[in-house]
Order: sequence, then structure tokens, then C-alpha cells
Amino acid sequence: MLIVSILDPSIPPLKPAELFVLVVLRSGPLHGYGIVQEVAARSQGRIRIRPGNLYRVLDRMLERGLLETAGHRGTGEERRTEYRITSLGRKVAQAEARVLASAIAELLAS
Amino acid sequence: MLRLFLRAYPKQLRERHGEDIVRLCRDYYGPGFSPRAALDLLWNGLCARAGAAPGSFEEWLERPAREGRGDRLLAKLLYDARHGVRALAKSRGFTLAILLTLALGIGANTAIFSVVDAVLLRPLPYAHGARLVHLLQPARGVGVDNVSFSPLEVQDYRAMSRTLDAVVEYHSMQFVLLGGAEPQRVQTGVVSANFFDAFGVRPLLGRTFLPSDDEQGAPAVLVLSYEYWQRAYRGDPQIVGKTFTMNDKVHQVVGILPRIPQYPEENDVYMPTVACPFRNGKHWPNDRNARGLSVFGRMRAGVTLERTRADLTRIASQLHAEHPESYPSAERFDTGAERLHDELSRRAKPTLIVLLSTALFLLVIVCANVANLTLARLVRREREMAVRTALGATRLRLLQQLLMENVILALCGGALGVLVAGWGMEALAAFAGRFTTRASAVSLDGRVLLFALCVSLGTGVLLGCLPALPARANLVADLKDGAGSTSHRSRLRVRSALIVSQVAVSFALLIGAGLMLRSLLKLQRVDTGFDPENVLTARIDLNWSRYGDNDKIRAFANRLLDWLQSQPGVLAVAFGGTVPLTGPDAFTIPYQVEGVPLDGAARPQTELDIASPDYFRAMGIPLVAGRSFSAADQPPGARVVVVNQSFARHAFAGGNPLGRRLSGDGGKNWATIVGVAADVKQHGLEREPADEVYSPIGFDVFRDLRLVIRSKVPPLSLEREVRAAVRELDPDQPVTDVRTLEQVRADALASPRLTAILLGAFAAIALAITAAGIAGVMAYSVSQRTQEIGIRIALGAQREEVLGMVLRQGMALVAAGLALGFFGGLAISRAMTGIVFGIAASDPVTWIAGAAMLAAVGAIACLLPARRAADVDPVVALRSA
Repeated sequence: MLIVSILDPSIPPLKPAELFVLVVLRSGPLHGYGIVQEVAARSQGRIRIRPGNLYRVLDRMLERGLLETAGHRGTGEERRTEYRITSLGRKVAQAEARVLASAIAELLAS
Repeated sequence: MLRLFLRAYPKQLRERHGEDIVRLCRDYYGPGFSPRAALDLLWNGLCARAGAAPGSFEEWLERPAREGRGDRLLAKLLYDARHGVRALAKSRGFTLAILLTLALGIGANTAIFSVVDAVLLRPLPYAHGARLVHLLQPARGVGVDNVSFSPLEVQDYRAMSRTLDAVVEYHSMQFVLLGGAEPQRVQTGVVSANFFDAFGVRPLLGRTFLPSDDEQGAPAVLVLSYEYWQRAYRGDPQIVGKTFTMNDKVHQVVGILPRIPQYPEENDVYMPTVACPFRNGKHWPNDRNARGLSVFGRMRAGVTLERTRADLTRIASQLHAEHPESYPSAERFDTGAERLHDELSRRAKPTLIVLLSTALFLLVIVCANVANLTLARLVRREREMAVRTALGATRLRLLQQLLMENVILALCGGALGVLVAGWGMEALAAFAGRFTTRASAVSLDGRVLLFALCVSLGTGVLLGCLPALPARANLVADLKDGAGSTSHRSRLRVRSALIVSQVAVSFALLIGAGLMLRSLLKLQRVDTGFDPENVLTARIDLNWSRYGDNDKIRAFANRLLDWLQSQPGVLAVAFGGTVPLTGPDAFTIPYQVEGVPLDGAARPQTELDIASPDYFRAMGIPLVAGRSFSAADQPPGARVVVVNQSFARHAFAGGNPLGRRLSGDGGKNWATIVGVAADVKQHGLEREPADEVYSPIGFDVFRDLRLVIRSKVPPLSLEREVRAAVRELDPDQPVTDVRTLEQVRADALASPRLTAILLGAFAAIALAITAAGIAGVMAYSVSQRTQEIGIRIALGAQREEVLGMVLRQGMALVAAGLALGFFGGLAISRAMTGIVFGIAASDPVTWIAGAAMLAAVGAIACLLPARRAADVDPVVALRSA
């Protein structure tokens, strides 16, 4: 598993969609379709993950240890995977949020 | 349905995310199946397989070229495709030129193939199409290919045949249909009850005929053709069950036919034989000699055409023995059969084959041109290729990429070509409709699209293989500088060969177009025998039940003529039995000349027509001898006739026909010849006039009258008066086919004119492409020889000498092309012998004019590069060395 450090500049920062996925999953495990819907809702419709992009987003986050598989529901074609956030995911989200918060505070102050 | 497209994703991804992806797609593109959702799944799935990053097509094009992970072959293909599209997008002018030529070539082929496919290749759209035959009864002794059958003969063949499991009859008449908004003259097919069953045609609505419909006293029923149903009733399904009045009897509509090519003719409605007042009259069903029915048979399963023919011959000889009086041995009766499929397309075949081969020739030129452009572009990319080879690309890999580029080009050109084809298809189908009823089935369907795809792919692969042709010289030389290397010489040779082939094919196409054009000009100059200027014609087919005898017909005709004669602007008004050039429906009778013994020979045949007194004046047909009819030449007056020159020549061998007497009924009645009229082209501009006898109105039963009015005013302005006059005399009497004689004549020229236009357009495109090709190759050759030319000029060569040198080089290619094209021209002119009129296939004017035209165009195309060569500044040329 990759070791992710917020301080390591070689690790790419979270993309907006990824940040929102982490935000959504803090409330509990969810399947991919639910994640996309929740992300759209919480971003007020500004972030819509396209069908062709869904597996890319999720797989990359799994690979980086931000998410893990919580289990499966249903069988065969209807089988759906649920994801939950890892402790690393929480830390990264919080660190990313702090960076963003300071930037936002600066923006609002000016 | 969407899940099917999900299969584009690799299995692992599908299992993990499939359900989510499908649901997302529904959210994104709306519920249910949408093509965009399918495309999204397909595209992203393939990208996932190739290991490439997903996204939209546009994003994909923008992304830097990099071979992905995953499925190697697919990744490579996608990579090549992307590389190809970008390379083509970079040289827009080149791409556009190639796309346009390809679109023309593939479009022309697709359009013509769609007609060829519908008319010649596809099986008949009848369930039993392959087993259907048309029965023919030739009488070779009198030179008739098919005298058709009488009802008694139909019965005999039906009862005695061992190879046919159905024998059905057909004839067609005009009847007047009452009960709609206004009286309508309808073309009515009168058929056996099992006619549609034998053909295997199932109704679109309602039913076709049952055996009980064809029994004496059965209620009269009608089946409508699809076209008439759409035209007259706008496809109203409620029409089934409605009743109409026809021949003073109530007829009920019981069914609608599907949209099929009708055979033998297009009809508006169909009725069973028992409902036809003629077919079910007193005379016709009981006279073996009363022939006039077309007969079709369905061969038993597994029976060959040869066995059927033998069977029919057997029946014929038996009938000949039983009824010798109906089959005089001098007339040499026989019975045979032809496949319906062949009959339906026979007239269209020669023209379509010529058009298809012309289109294929055009495609050859297009391919040669695209190949030439591709080679020219390769020269410019030589350094790119050399660099890439130096960096490790294999020769195979480079070829793969070029192949992909060409396939993409050809497919795009093909897609454009399908648009071109779709645009021209309607006109082409209308054109083919002049030859065969099958043309109604012409469409851009799956088969045609598959053809276009195959042609495009084939073209792409062929062109993609071209760069492999000239053997590559060593790379180091190319890297240093391409000029003057051996690869350029070999490439110029290939390009010159391509030009020679283009000239050759252009020559063949010019010959084809030239022959057609000359034939058209000859046809236009044909003397029809009548004067078409300022003449109106109209068709007035009298209702059979209302105009039962000659007196009633004559009374109607005389009153209408009197009325119209008094109208202002009318010079002459008359009735005839036919309008020349409008159809083969001549009435033919056997005749004998008084005082000429038959000596056992068959009685000769002549066409019989009717004419009111002013007919020859109204039509502008000159009388060569004697007089026309007068008002006194009507019953009970003495019977007189006018014959045409052709008749006079054949029957009297140059002797004076005036005063001689003829009989058309075996000597019971005799008619005196009082005049000789000039010959008229009744059946087509290209056909010789037939023997013809004109009889005054009132002696023979002719109900299908043709009104002819010669006027001082524009003829069509009289249409209103004609309709009003007929309505005044008989409100139920329709007037149809109102046309001027000039329109009739122009119509007779329409199909040769369109063939000439098509062939001419093909030849013009070919010529333009070839000229551009010659200019391009010569310009390339000059640019390669700049230094050499510079040296020549520096050493004292004159401007004219340089000009002449380049011209000579270019014209050598043209000459070689002409020599080669001679054979192509021979092939195309041989194929055209059947469709040209009045000229030989070896017509020297066409051949010389074609060669001269190509030589002139070639010389002009060479002139520009030649002048550039002559203008070479030796100082500049030598310095750049």
C-alpha cells in the first residue's frame, strides 16, 4: 500500500471529486451509485461523476488507501460493492480541508 | 439493453462497478435505452480495456499520444487511430480533397448499387417469387412473340399441367369508380381468385380474393393497391368495407395490398374475373381465339424451368391437334415460359449494367487519384518517417499507422458518399421506374450500407498498402536530404503509372458518355411523323356500361367535337385511338387484301387505330395520297380506311393502294382504302413504324378515346374548356392525362436523356480528376528537376525548349493512357450496343472526339507546370543545390 503524506509534495493533492467522496463516506459505507448521488447533492450539483469515470475515481482512491471495500450486496449482475473510508482517508480529508480552509479564509478576508 | 453495451468493459471492472455504471448512465442520459448512453458505455469500456484514460472523444483527441496499458492490440489500434486523425487534421487541404473525391466515387457506386440490388439482385418480394413463371404463346409464323391466351386456353393449361401447381390469369382495364369525391378512372387488374395466393402476396389489411368471390353471382369485391390507397385515400384504414359503384354495380373494398412492385403493371384496384363485364360477357369466355389474357404459373417445388417448358410444349401440341381451326399451322403457334424475375428486370438490365460499370470505372479513377495524392503527401512526410525509423519504429509499425490513416479516410469518405447517394437516390429510383416496377423497392437499406462499408474498407486497405510499393532507399540518404534519391524516381514511376491508368479509364468513360450523347442527339432529330407544336391531348375512356354500342360512342364523340370546334383559338379538334409514344397498347388484327390469295400462308398483321375526320390535320400528320375521312364516312355509309405508308409498302409492294379493299374479319366486311398517311412513330422514337390502318369512329368498338386539339393559343390553356365541355355532356366522365404533344415527345426522351446526363457527369468528374492528377504529377516532376532545368537554361536552352520538354513528358503519359483506354472503350461500347440508337458502337466521331478532348485537357493540365519550369531562374536553382 502506498504511504500517503500530506507533506510529501510528490503525492498529488485530492481532486474536488475525491474530496467530496471522502466527505460523503464519513457518514457511513455506501455503494458507488449512492456515492455519486450524494456527491452531486453535497456539491449542489457542481460535481457530477460521469459513468465512464466512476470506476477510475473509486479504484484510484482504493489504490491509495483512502477507501476500502466494506462488503457486497446482492448477487450476479445486481451485485454491488460498498465502500467505506479508511483512517488514512479521514486524515487526508482533514489535512486537505485545513489547507483549503486557510485558503478560503484568506479569500473571504480580502 | 444497456447491459449489453456494458460488455465493452473488462470483466473485472464490470463485476465490481457494472450495476453502478448502468444506473449512472440512466441518470445521466435519461431512463430507457438511449444511443448516447450506449456510446458512452462502448467508448469508455473500450478505453478501459485499452488501459487508456476515459473521457469524451474530444478529450481523447487532445490528449498527448501515448500507448496505454491493458489490451495491447486494442491499445495499438486506438493509438494508431488517434495518430491518424491528428495527422489528417493537420493537413486539412489534402484531407478535404481526398474526402471529396472518395465521397463522389463511393457515393456514385452506392447509389447505383442500390438500384442494381433492388432491381436485379434481390429475389422477388413475393413469397413464391423464385417459382413464378410467365407463360408465353408465340405465333412465329406472323412474327408475334406472345399472342397471349384466351379464357378457354387458360382452363386447359390449368387442367392439363403437371409441373405447375397454380395457373392464374391477368388482364387490365380502365373503369370509372364512383362514390368518392369525384368520378375516378382507375386502372383495374382483373385476376383469378388465387392470383395473390399464387404469388404469395398477403394483404396489408383485410383479405385478398377467395374462390367464392370468383363464382357467378358472387357479390362484387375490390382489393386496392398500396399506392392507390395512399394516393386517393391517404392510407385511411377505414376504407376496407366501404362500397363504390363501378360498371353500374356495387363493389365492396375487402383488402389492401402491401407495398410491393406490382406485376405485370401498376394497377389502382384489382377485381376477380367474374366482375369484369368483358371477361364475364357472352363472347369472350367461349371463344378459343379471343386471346388477351396474361398468364402466370407457379412451378411445383423442385421442378426446373426446362421441365415446365417441356410440359407446356406437350399441352400445346395436344391442343393444336384437338383444335386445328384455332392454331393454323402457318402461324406456327407454340407455348413457352420465362422466369418472372428475369422478365421484371429485362428492360432495365442493359442500362443498369452500363451505369454500374461506369460507376466502378469512376471508382478506379478516384482510387488512382487518392493514391497519387497520398504518394505526394508521403514525400513531404519522408523526413518524419525517417526520424521515426531512426528512433526505433519498425517498417511494419509505420505501415500499420499509414494503413489506419487510410482506412479512417476511406470510412469518412464512404460516410460522405452515403450522404451523396441518399441525395441522388430518389431521382435514380424514378429513372429506374421507367424500366421496371421493381424500382419502387430502391432504398438505402442494410445491404446497400454494407456495400458502401465494404467498398470504403476495400478502398482504404488498398490505398494503405500503396506506400509499401516503392522499395525504400536507405534511410541515411533520406535523413540527409531526400532530393534526387532513387526512391523519388521509383515513386514518380508509380505516380506516372497511376496517371496513365486514370487517362485510360477517363477515355473509356468519355466514349460511353459520347455514345449516349450522340444517340440522344439522333433520337432528338428523329422525325416522329407528327407536328407536336401547339397540340393538346387528353384521355377520355368512356364508361363501358353507359356507352355500350357504337351509336352512343359516336354521338358522344360528335357532340364533343362540335362543341370544342367552336371554341376560340381551336384550329382543329379530333379523336384518335392512341397518342403516339405513350405505350405499347396497340390493337393488332390479322387482315387480307381483296384479290390476293392467301395460299395457306398466315394472314399478315396490322395495327388498327381510329380517327375522326380532322385527326390528321390536328396531329399534323401529312397525307401522302388520297383523302382523309369526311363526316359522311360513318355508319350507315360505306366502310373506308386510311393506311400508313409502311402498310402500303408492305401490302402493295409500291403499287397504288387507293381504291383497293381490305378485310379484317376473314372476308365478311370489306373496307376501301381512300388515303395514305405518313408513318408515325407510335411505339418509341427508336422503333420502326408499324403497319397501321385508320378506321373512322363508329365502325369498330373503341371506347378509350384520345382527344387531340391543335390551337393558336397555348394548348394547356384549353384544358379548362375541355373539362367543362365533357362535364356538360356527362358529369360522370373523367378526363385524364391532359398533356401537350410536346410534353409527350419530351417524355419519350426522358430516360435516354437521364442516362446521357449520368454518363456525362461521370465522365466530367473523371476528366476533372484526371486533369488535376496530370497537373499534380507534372508539377512534382518539375519540382524534382528544378536543378537540372536550371542547368539546361544556364547552358542556353530556350524557354520554348523547356516548355516543350515538359509538355512532351506529360503528353507521353496521356498517349499511353489513350492507347490503354482503347480497350476499356471497346468494353464499354460493346456493353452499350443495346441502349444506343442510330450509331454504331465503333462510331468514329465519338472515338476521335473523346481522344481529342482528353489530349486537349491533358495539354492544358501540363501547361501550368511547364510554364513554371520555363520560368526557372538558373541562378536560384543552382544556388539551392
